[in-house]
Amino acid sequence: MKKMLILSLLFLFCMMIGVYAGGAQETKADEGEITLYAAAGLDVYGPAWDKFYEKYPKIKINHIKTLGTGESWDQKVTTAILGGEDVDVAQQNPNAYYNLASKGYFEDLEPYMKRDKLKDSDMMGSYSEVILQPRGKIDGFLWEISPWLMFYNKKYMDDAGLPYPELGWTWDDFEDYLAALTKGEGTDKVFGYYGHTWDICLSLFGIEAARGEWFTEDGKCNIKSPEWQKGIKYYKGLIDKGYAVPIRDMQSLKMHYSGTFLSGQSAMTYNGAWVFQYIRDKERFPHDWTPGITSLPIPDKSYPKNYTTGAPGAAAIIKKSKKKEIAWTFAKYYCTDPDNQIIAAAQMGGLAAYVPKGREEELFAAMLKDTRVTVKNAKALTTEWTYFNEKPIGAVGSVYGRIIEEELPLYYNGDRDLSSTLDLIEKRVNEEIEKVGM
Amino acid sequence: MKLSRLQKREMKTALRYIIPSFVGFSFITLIPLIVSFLLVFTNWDGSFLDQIKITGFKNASYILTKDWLFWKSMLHNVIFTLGVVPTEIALAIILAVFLNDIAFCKQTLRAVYFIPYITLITAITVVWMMFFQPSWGPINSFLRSIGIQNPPGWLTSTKTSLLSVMIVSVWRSLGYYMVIFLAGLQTIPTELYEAAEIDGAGRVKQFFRVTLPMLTPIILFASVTGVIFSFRVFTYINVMTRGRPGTSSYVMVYYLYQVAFKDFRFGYASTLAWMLFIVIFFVTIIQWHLQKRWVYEL
Repeated sequence: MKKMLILSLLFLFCMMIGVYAGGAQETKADEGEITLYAAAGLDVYGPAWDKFYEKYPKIKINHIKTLGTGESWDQKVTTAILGGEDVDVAQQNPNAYYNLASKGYFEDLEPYMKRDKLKDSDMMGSYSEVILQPRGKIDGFLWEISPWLMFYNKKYMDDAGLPYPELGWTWDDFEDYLAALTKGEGTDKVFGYYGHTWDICLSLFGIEAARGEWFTEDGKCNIKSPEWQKGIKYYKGLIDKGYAVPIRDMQSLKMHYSGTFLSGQSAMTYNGAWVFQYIRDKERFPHDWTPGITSLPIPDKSYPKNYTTGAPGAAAIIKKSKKKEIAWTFAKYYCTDPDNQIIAAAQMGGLAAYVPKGREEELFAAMLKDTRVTVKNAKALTTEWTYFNEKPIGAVGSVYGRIIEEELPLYYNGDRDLSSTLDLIEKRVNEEIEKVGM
Repeated sequence: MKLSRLQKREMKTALRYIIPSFVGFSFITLIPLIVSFLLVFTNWDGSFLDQIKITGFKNASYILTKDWLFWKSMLHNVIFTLGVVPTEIALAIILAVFLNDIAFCKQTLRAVYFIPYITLITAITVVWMMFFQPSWGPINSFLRSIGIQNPPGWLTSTKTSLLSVMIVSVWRSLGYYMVIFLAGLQTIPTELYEAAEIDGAGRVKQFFRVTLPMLTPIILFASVTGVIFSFRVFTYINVMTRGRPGTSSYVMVYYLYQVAFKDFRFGYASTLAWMLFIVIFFVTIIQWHLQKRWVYEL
């Protein structure tokens, strides 16, 4: 028995030594390997990293793709970071970033920026306040911006004799277009518009009309404002008239925006610029017609002409990383190298976080390569846009979105009236706000 | 009581066999259990350990007095249990008796009924989601063909979302319970049926006076395990409805999964988990005590 006890203690001791001595020690800034978590894989970022290796041949990026077939890629990243997995740099969606930044999981980049003489705008473009919000510190850097665009089927437009929609078109114009584009019945029906089941898609017209105000001035749920109600009723009207795909069908058939649009089941869809990569993928989404892009229709002329949604996506160096200097080398390169942005954006289809001055046309040419999408005015759709946040950002951001996804479809499906639906959403969101810090 | 040398030696040998398993049990089960219990009294949200605040009974108090979604989820679990468990036991017994009586294709039919149980739940739920599609699915198409103009919305309706999941759950578990009851039927002495026949009992009376009483120990086992599984239902909900539409199909385990892994409120989620444990524990105790009244023992 004594022998067993001694052996067990020795074993435990060795394990503890291994745990504390384990892990690589901090290495030089330009030599070593970092683990990067990013939504897209090497098929998207490979060319960008090849360029990185030309400048930093001794740094290796262990790239791990987090986006799967499910929708909770941010949950995967958050769980990995909370669980202490070996991650050095991680891209996250805004709410996951906010959540972890406010808990102090990310490295404060200010000392590094001061040392290397970089300004806020070098790391965050013009979106510094989004990154700075959680702790008043620069906890991350801007990874990308994905503007949302109205994609349309040019063939359907031509067949209906419609001119391609221009910036500044209104909700009334949009409804006229949908009426002309919707045709057929049953399984052969072509809908004018496909939304999606995400919170932003369900609340799109409401949040647009409310000019991006998810919260009231005193920090409560704003969904019962007249503007919100106007937008929600407008979308319900489109569904009831048969112009937009019913939410019930989207949910029960697990429909997807890219498949529905690119198979010709809908004439238009509003979604993120990442749709370009699906348009490019002719193998998965065969189509012989040309897509077009324009802006989201605005409620009326009092709104900015190019008013659209989009969310800055952030990345951060993990505080527990043992390779912070290498990670910083990577982050600095990512943000300040102009070629990197062009390549990365081209592959992903997202707008580069840092548009190199005077290179907007080049950026768009790279983004739209092999899509047959042309754009008259690249600048207007990219750098001169006015955006409203696609998600409520904050401590209750993700649960707010989830509540909308749970409750709003009941109104759109005709199962509940507007007043009860909005009352319940407001009640649930405000309860969650009360629970913060509980 | 002082142990003899032999007893001490035997104890040491026993410990040598138990300790490795106990170490594994401690790391995988016991320690997480203790930690989750301690988290009940905190507001841990994934922040660093030095930032955890002790909140005492605040979580439990909030759950019991203000958390309407907890009570709604619990109610759905009760409805699920009351609907699913008796139905699957009753149908399984009928199926088992039928299979026991037939002389041909017994093995084939047994396999056919058991296949859903060994098939991946995700695969089954995806197929059933197509069946339940309200506009073009085969179930509603059939209902419309026989004159029902407004068939149910199934997974897309607040009234039928939970019922839809219950149907799938019963369908899938039927084979499992059928096999258990089939085995139980083999243990019933044939002399009892002979004696009943001699006394003039017909097939139906034999079923109610011989078969059912003799199956009561197995019915107890099926009902206890069935109740525990029903309170733990998660995969069906997560794949088929995600608690929707609205919160019409929220169940306890799905709710605590949301709180833990979507909202990252581990303290609150741990409290929910322990509440669920307490409910299942007491329901099982009640079932165990009530067995004396209806479980027949030879």
